[in-house]
Amino acid sequence: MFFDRGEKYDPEHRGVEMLKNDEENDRYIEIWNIVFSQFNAVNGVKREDYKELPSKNIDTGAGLERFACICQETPTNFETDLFMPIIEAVMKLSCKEYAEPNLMSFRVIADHIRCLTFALSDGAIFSNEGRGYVLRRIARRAMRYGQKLGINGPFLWNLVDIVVEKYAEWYPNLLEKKELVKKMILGEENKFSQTLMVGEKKLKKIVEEKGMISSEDAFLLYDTYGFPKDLTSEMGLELGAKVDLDNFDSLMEEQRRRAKEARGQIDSFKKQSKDLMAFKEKSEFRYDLEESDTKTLGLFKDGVRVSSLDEEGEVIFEETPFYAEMGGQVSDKGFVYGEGFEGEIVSVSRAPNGQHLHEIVMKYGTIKEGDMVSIVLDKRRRHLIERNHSATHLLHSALGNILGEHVDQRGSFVNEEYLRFDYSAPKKMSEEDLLALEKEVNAKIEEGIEEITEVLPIEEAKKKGAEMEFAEKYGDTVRVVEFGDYSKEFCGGTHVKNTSEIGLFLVKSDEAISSGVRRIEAITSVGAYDYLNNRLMLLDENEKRLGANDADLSRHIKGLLNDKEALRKENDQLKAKIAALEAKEMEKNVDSVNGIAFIKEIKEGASRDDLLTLADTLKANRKDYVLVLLGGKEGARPLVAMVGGEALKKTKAGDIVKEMAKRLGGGGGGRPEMATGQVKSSNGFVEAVESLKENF
Amino acid sequence: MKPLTGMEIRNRWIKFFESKGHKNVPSVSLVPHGDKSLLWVNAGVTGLKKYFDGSEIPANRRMTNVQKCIRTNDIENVGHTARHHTFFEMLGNFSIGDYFRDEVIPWAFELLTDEEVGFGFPKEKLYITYNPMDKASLELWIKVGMIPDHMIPLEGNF
Repeated sequence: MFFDRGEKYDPEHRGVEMLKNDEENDRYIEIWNIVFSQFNAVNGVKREDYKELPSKNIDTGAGLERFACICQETPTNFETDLFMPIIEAVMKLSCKEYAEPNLMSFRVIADHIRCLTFALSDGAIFSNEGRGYVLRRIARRAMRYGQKLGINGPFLWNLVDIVVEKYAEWYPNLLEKKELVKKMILGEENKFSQTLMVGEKKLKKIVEEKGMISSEDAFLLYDTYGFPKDLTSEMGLELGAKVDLDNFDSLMEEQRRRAKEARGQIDSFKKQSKDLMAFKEKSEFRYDLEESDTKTLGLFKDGVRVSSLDEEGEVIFEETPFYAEMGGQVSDKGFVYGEGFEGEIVSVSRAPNGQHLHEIVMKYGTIKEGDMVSIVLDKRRRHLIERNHSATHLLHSALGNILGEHVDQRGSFVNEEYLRFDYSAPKKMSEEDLLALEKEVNAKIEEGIEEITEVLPIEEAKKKGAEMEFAEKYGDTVRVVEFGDYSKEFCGGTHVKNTSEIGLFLVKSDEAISSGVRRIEAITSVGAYDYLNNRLMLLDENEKRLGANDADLSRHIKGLLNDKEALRKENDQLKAKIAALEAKEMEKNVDSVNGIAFIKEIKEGASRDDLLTLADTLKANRKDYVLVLLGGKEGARPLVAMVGGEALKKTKAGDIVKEMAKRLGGGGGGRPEMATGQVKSSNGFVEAVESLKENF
Repeated sequence: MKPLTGMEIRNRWIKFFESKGHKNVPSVSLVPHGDKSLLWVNAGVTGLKKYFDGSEIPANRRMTNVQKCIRTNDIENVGHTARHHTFFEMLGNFSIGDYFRDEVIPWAFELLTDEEVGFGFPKEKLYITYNPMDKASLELWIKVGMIPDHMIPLEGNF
């Protein structure tokens, strides 16, 4: 759908022709698009031959900014109330009017600050790859246009206020994140100023020395100092140097390829890192905490020790509540806060000397060695993981009870979404057993059994009869996690305080993964509720379709199946009747020569099997006969011949097929009583059969 | 035509479709969940994919939304043109196996032209492009009041 903004935006008076030619223009603005999904588009199939989809969908989209531009009758989207308050704020900052030659600078800044404010509020962060890199480019582009307006120093972060003021009524989460977003943008602006200062110096030096800038120079400036390509080109020209950046993109591509390879090696770097191996300071993992006020002991960048971090890196704290990935339980995630900085903890592994090594991504500011920090778990996620982990222990015990023997655990995995348990079993559990298993675990959840964890010398733990996965994995003392008398396992993971917290346990699948090893996947609590709820909706949907309810759904489906069976039988009977009628019809074409019945027929479209079935019907109740049937269509026609009784003394089915094949073009053969073949045409068929009669 | 503010346009859109039995679905986060192939949520339908591909069934088969979107494939062009943005808001309405052409076309016409509940655009200002094979849509648009001359057949308009 298009809106015509009139001649004013059509200086050449070209009118609706622009729309007909599908040209981008300022007069006819596309405002709304409706997509009908009616057909199943398949590559290589003509559009008019697409099949209709079983359910037809509608999906429409209309740009708010375009609607505002039309309703408010502004020249472009930027003069609407969606952008103008931001542009006015930039006018104040720059002491310049929103007019040529500065229109573009104002527009870029207004657009980009909206994007940054919304993206950062939704959890994106500045970084050197992917999403974070795109945001960095957008921020830097906006800063450059700020400079063009003569704004010195960081300014973008101050514009966040006006964006939030304008948009928080519809998007309340902006208000919550405002202060954080301002700090993130300010940090990014400071970083870029630094980059510009260092980069500018280098660039001047290159120009002084060589009088020109090559792709390699520009790439070095970009790669080492983060100096943008377009800025290199612009400043180079300002300094009167020759600038040739043709090769820049391929250098960039090469760099990306190397970076990708390097990423694959980072994990092995970490394990072999000299700095990490030499790092022996103690860091305590606290099972009993969910957050901790502590101190940074060591900072690392890809395994190399550093004194501070302002982007990605790894940190070891004096004390941590963060679980490191081990024993099938995924690591925790969370946040780190300090004076003047904030970061995300995205995963946790173990350093060579056992300390928990936190992989962090900074949101703003710089974290330094010796800093006092608060580190806080993503508690909701941790609790979901704990529910799945404790449920795994209950499952392990229940399996033993149901299968009536000791169950060997062959591996397990738990995260916030589901649990996986691999066990050795000679055969598949019956459906009754699986149901009993699920019931038993849920009964233990309902009982509300307290969790008790003991730290014991390994020999003592073994005496208690705790389950363990791989004996050699445990040190001198071990943790034994108990749920009453029901479950006892050596386990370093984290658990619920009481089985009732698990809420609900559901087995999703039980499958063989290798010979003698099976895998159960199960879900608990919120995940189980969502899963059941989705299935309930499916049930409701289909009941509605059938006009049924829970009580009579089975009856409805049984009725449908019975109807279907009855229709199938009726259909078979009708088919048989039709075949009998056809056979009767053909009787008319039966000639008798000296007591021998001659039957010939062309059945358009019939397959070889159809012909054989028909032949059986036709020859029934006959003793002496010659029968020749032709099916298919011109070009490829199956042929069937049968000879019986006295007629066999004069001819054979195989000979008939050979004779026909010679006359009609084709081939075939068979026994005296029955033969089949294929010919090209039916031309001369009747004559050929007539000539057979001459022998009789 | 009413000089509506951005806020009034959002409200009017949602209210209109709510009056036609749609559920107002809140905007999802710009950072896509569980889709590693996608950098940003970039269309109104993105958050509803799970309903369109059948992996989940919506509580209400009619939905409407105002969705935050980011498109960053053409950053360098932003500022040069009158209408391209990195961040924008998309208004939408959706039917998952519920209503189809016969409902959506009259509604679209009503929302665009009605002074009371819609945007009050004069129909002389509106043009519709349609696929030349889609005669059903053409007839319906004219029936609801579109000017026949303003119906533009366009190949490749699927």
